Amino acid sequence: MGLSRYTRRTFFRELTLLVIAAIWWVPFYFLVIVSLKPDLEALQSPLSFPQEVDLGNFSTAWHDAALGRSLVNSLVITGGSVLALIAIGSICAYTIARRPGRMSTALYLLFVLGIILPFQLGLVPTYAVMRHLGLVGSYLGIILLYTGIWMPFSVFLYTGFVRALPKEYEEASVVDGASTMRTFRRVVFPLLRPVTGTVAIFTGLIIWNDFFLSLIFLNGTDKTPLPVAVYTFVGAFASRWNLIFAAVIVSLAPVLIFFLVAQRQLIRGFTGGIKT
Amino acid sequence: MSTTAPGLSSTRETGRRRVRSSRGAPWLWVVPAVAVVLALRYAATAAGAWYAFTDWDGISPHANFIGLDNFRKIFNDPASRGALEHTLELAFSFVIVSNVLGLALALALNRTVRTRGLLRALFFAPVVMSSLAVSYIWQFIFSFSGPLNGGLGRIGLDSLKRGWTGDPNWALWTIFVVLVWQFVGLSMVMYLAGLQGIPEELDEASAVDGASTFRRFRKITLPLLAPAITVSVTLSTIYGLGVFDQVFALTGGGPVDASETLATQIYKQTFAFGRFGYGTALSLILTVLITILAVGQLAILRARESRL
Amino acid sequence: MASVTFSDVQKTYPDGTRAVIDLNLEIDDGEFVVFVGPSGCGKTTSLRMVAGLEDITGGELRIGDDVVNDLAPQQRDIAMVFQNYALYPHMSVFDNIAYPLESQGMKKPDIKDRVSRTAEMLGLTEHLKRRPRNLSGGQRQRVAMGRAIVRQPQVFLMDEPLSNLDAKLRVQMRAEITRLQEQLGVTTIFVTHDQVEAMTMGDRIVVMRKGVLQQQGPPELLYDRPANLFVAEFIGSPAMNLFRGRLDDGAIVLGDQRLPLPQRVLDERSGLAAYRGRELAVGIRPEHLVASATANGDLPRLAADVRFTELLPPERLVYATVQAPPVVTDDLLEIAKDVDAAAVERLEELEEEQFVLACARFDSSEVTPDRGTYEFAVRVDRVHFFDLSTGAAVR
Repeated sequence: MGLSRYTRRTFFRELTLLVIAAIWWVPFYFLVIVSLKPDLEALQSPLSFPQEVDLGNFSTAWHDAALGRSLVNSLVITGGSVLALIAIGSICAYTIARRPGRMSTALYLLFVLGIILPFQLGLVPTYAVMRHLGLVGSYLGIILLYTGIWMPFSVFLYTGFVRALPKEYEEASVVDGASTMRTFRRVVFPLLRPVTGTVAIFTGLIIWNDFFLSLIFLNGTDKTPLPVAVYTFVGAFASRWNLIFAAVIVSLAPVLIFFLVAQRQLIRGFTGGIKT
Repeated sequence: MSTTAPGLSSTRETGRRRVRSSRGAPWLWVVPAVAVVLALRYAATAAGAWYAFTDWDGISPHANFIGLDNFRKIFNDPASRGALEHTLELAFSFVIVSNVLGLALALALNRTVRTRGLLRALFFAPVVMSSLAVSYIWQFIFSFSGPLNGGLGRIGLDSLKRGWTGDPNWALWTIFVVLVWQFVGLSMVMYLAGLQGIPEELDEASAVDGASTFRRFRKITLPLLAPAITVSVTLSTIYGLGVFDQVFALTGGGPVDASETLATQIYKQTFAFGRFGYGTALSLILTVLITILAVGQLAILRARESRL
Repeated sequence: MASVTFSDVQKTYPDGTRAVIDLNLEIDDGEFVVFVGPSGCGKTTSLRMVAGLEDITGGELRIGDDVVNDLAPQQRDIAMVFQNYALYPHMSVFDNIAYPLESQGMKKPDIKDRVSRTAEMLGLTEHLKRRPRNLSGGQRQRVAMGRAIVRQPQVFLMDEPLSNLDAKLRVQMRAEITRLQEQLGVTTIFVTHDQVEAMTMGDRIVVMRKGVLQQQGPPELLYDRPANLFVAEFIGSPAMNLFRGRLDDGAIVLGDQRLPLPQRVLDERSGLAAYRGRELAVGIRPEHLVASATANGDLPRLAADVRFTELLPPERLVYATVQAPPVVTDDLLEIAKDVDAAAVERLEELEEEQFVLACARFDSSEVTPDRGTYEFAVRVDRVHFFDLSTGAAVR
């Protein structure tokens, strides 16, 4: 029947898809060309191919939007949150998965429901409490927030995976004289690498790109992550598209590089994590 | 392991240790995770649900219970009512279009296309980008001197030119475009994964049996894709209802509340106007909305899944 | 001292299943004891209780002089080789073997020393840097052994470590394990479902069935003096031939045939007196059905219908049907079930037809009986008797 043959029809299908993809990427085209334009040209003829190229836009954006500092902030916040999610989530899941009984089932349910529960309602009280505790505008506060929001997801994924892990390795380890912590650290956790990858990528990406929460909790401080920094910059430099786009490109660079490098993992992380 | 039933106490003399030791992961290990989830999810949500019925201004330590006052105000306030409408419109159209397009792309991309990897990456790239960045790019595109108007001018449709994001009739739809543009790739990738799980032989057998392409799709592909559809639709619903970033960055909710969504309203009322109680009430409505629609959808789709 | 003592040990699961019932056993320091029996007999459960991987529901388990019922596995100073080896897949062979030493806090240079010596003992030196997935089954098995040996524990526990190897390798490893154990002198408990393995490896064999210890002792004891029908049928390959016969005045009656028993045999088995005129199970090992031509004229003859023979030099197995009712007890059905459905069918067939397919072990140099009637000489001095209802041996 030749369903899998590369026919002429397939060729046209492919061509059409490539054209659609090209059109899809037109916004990026503009992103790049506008970012390269010097001020005057940006104002007068924003849509044309750049006559002159002004790379100074990037350094201006870098300095005026404090992108360097925001980059560090994003790294600290995302890194800290992801680490917490992995460390705390995995040990919790290990206990739940390996100790059968009503307590474990109840806890598991707690986390599963936590995934479904929309986070918006708790936002305002959390803000108020954190402000009271002086945590608004601090790394600790926002990391705590992200950790709390995504913990159910992390525990859920880890639990499923641990349950599927054959008990033999742990048995061998305890018989070999290792304490529970050692068994977890040296035997179980390394075997959880796929899930750790999924949790890290999925939550890491979402936290890195988050705007809403970081706006509420970090706006106006020196701990703003990249999205808020760009927002502030746009607020100050409205309509100066060349500078704005330079800032946007810089802020997108880390994710884009990561995407190019780890594309497969990323996509697998999204579909795999969601499928479970 | 379950705890031991006590063994017989031996009453011999010296030379024997009898040490009781715990086995398996200690319960202590669940404490951090449980604590943080209970506090930041459950307790916070419960508190939110409580404050929705108060007149709290976020500063004073006391909040007076005012019953359904907030909700009455919400339904009387055109801005809030509008936000509710817009939220539903936006979510509804976003879910349908992005899933249909995503599915179409996945089907087109599924077999024998040689540049599959590249195409998948091209469509998925916007998904991993910050919504803010995406919104600003499109703000430029929609701007009066931006490419959209430029393109319209080129093909002679000057009359259609306008400031898209500033037009009360079109503002919401600019957001719609951005959402679809950004997230079609995600649905596509999920459906691709779902399609991978369908053995080629089934489709081939059906074709050999003489079924037309459309029939094959309806009877074989679609039913087997049901789980992926459930997941994708439910997730896009949850996201679509709570969308904030794109609205905030693209139109700010304007012009004059024309593109306000519940999420942006919550932000404004709470953090711009300081009406914490009112904002929480809005949050409650959003939460209930999401829960009902998402869970309801999940139930319906899951039921259809098992029927198929 | 690393003896292992079971005192009235019980294992009952929450749903009521009794996996180990009233186990009483003393294993001396340095002994190699094999636990053998069909699946579900409780041998693995017993082993795991010694390891501390299963809780003990009742009774007392002692390693040396210490009661270890509540002791965690980490603290028992035992080493275990798992059926699937449980080698840490993400660690190299070296790290796998070093792991127990690290867990005990040994210093790096000492660890290196011990591991290299152990590796050398097992022929693993060139493989130290490799990962388990890159090793053959036999090599993996040796790594598992290495991990156990390196600790110099009080007790070795082995849970069917050879079941995943092919036949040739299995035979080779059996010898290696036996040799190692002798060399190291560590108390070893070895679990297997293969009675040949049990017989060739153990100083002492413990036969278990449905959680109950059937008989324990050196291989010859179990072979020559099985305590009950189960052990008689389980130990020995090919299995013992079992007939339902009647004890007449000084003779066994099998079907229509009478096999007179010499007075000496009757005297040796005083228990037989109670069975005069009653039915009982008669067991004759294949090697005790001998070729008529070369046998002593005094031995009674048993007529049978030769069906087929199997040549396995240096012996030949002759299969012939004897017109006598077979012994079909629940035990035997269960053993058959463990083999396959066909075995069960055959057993049921035989029960209906009321004859026994007996197996005789001839030397391959002997004349092969033709198909058709043949008379075996029966070594009645080596016949076994069992009570039909209890299965217990009659002595």
